[in-house]
Amino acid sequence: MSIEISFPDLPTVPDVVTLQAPVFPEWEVDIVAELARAHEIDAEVVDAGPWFVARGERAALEVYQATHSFRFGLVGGDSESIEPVDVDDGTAVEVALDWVRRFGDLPVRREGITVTSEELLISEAPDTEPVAIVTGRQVNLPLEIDGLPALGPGAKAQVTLGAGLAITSAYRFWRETKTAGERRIEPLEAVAERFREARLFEGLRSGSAEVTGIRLGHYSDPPTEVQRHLRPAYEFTGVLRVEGAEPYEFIQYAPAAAVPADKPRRRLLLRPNG
Amino acid sequence: MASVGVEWVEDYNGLRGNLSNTNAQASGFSNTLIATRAFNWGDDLAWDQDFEQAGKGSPSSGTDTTWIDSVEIAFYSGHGSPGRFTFGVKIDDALAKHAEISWGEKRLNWIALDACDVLARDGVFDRWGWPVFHGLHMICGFDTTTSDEAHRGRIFATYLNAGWTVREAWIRACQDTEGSDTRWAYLRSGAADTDTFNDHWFGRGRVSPDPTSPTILFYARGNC
Repeated sequence: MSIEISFPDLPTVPDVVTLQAPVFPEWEVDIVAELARAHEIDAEVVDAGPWFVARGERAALEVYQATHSFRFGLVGGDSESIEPVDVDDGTAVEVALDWVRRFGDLPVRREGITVTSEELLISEAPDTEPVAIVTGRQVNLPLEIDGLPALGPGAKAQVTLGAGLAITSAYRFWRETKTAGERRIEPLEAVAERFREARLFEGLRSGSAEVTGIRLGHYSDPPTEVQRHLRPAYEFTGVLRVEGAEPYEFIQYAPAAAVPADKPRRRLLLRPNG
Repeated sequence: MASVGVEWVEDYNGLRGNLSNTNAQASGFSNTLIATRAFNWGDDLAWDQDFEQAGKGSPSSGTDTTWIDSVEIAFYSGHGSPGRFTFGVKIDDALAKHAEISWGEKRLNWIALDACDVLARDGVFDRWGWPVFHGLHMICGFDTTTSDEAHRGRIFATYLNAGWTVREAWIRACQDTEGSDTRWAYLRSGAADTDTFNDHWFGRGRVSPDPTSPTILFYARGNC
C-alpha cells in the first residue's frame, strides 16, 4: 500500500450491540388489498415475483414480499410533472411524518431528516438555458435501529409531495426484527487499521485517502432481499485522491461483529405456512 | 429477441481505486434481463473504445458499432465523473469521454451508466445530451456519487421484466439500492411521433420509435 490514509478522531462506540433478526413478513393478498384500499387504490393484487402489486388507473402500490416494505406512487405522476411545486419544509415534514404514522411506528431519526427537490430540466436546443421545474419536494426520513443509525438502503422512508401537498410517491423500507442476543463489537481501532488494506486502495502507487466520517450501525440489504440478521457494521465515508484521476467519494462498510452467514440467495417462490 | 451487452471494471491496475461489486452488478443485469446476451466484458477486456464512435473526439478510434451500439440495451459499471466513465486498461486512453460518443445510430435504445456523477446536473445537455443522442432513447445514471454495490443491475432488470417503464424501473432500482443522499438521474430524448417517456423493455409494453434527430431533451433527478 503506497498511499497515505488519514482518519478523523475515532468516535466512541459501545462494547456490545444487539443482534437483530428480521421477522418474515406475513403478506397475503387480502392484506395487500387492504393496504391498497388505505391508499385509495381499488385494483386486483398481482403476485409479480419480488412484489405484490396493486395497480389502478390513478395509483399503484408495490409490496415487497421479502420485507415489511412497500411503495406507493401515482401512475405517471413522478419526476416529469410540469406543474411546479412550492412547499415549505416544515409543512412537508409534517405531511411526511403523518403518512409514515398511518402505517405503524417507524423509528425516525428526526435530526437527520432532509427535504430535497425532485427536478425536471427541459432543453429545446443546444447551447440554450434549459427550463428548470421543481416537480416534487422529497422528505427523506432516516431511521434508527435499537439506538444506532440504520445503514444501507433497506431501512429508510421517503415521501414526495406535489402541487397542493398531494403525495405523488412514498416508500417505507423496513424489516420488523426481534433481538437475537448480543454481539461484542470489534474495536474500532483494529477495524480502522484493517481498513488501510481495503481493496479500494490496492495497487495504488500514489495518492491519498481522507476518511471524513465513521459510524456504527445496523446494515439492511435492499428491501427485495431476505436477510437473516441485520449486520452490525462500521460505515467509513471519505475521499480518495489519485494523481491523474478524479476525486472519488467513497462509502465503505466493514463488519463490526461476527454474525451467522445469510443463506444463499434464492428467489422466493413459496409462501411460508402460518 | 432484443439483446443486452454489459461492461464493468473492478481492477483498475493502479489508475484508480479498485471496486468490488461491478461484476456482480453488471452481470446481474445481463443474467436477469429477458434478452439475448450479446457480450459481457470485464476488467482488462472492458475497453473505452467499445463505447466511442470512430472518428469522433480524441483519440479518434472507436468501435461502438461493433459493441455498444450493436445491442438494444447496455449497462456499464465502474468509476465515472461528469465528463467521462473509466476503464482499467489503456487500449485507447481508458476514458470514454462524451466528446468521443454518439449513440443510437444503429441499435442502442437505452444505456445505464452505473458510475458516479456522469449525469451531474450542470451542463448535462451540452455534455451527454445534444452531442450524444442520435437515435438513443435514454441514459440512466446518477447526479451524485453512488455506492459500490452488487444488487442494482439484477433489480433493474427485474423491474424491466415485470413491465415497468425504463424510467420507472431505473428510479425504483436506485431507491432500492442506495441511501437517500444519492440522487438518481436520467436523460431522455424526444421528437415528433416518439414517446420515450413510456418506453418499456421489449415484449413488456410500448417501445418508442427512435428519436433520430431529437427536438427536445428531458433531464430528471431525485433523491434515492
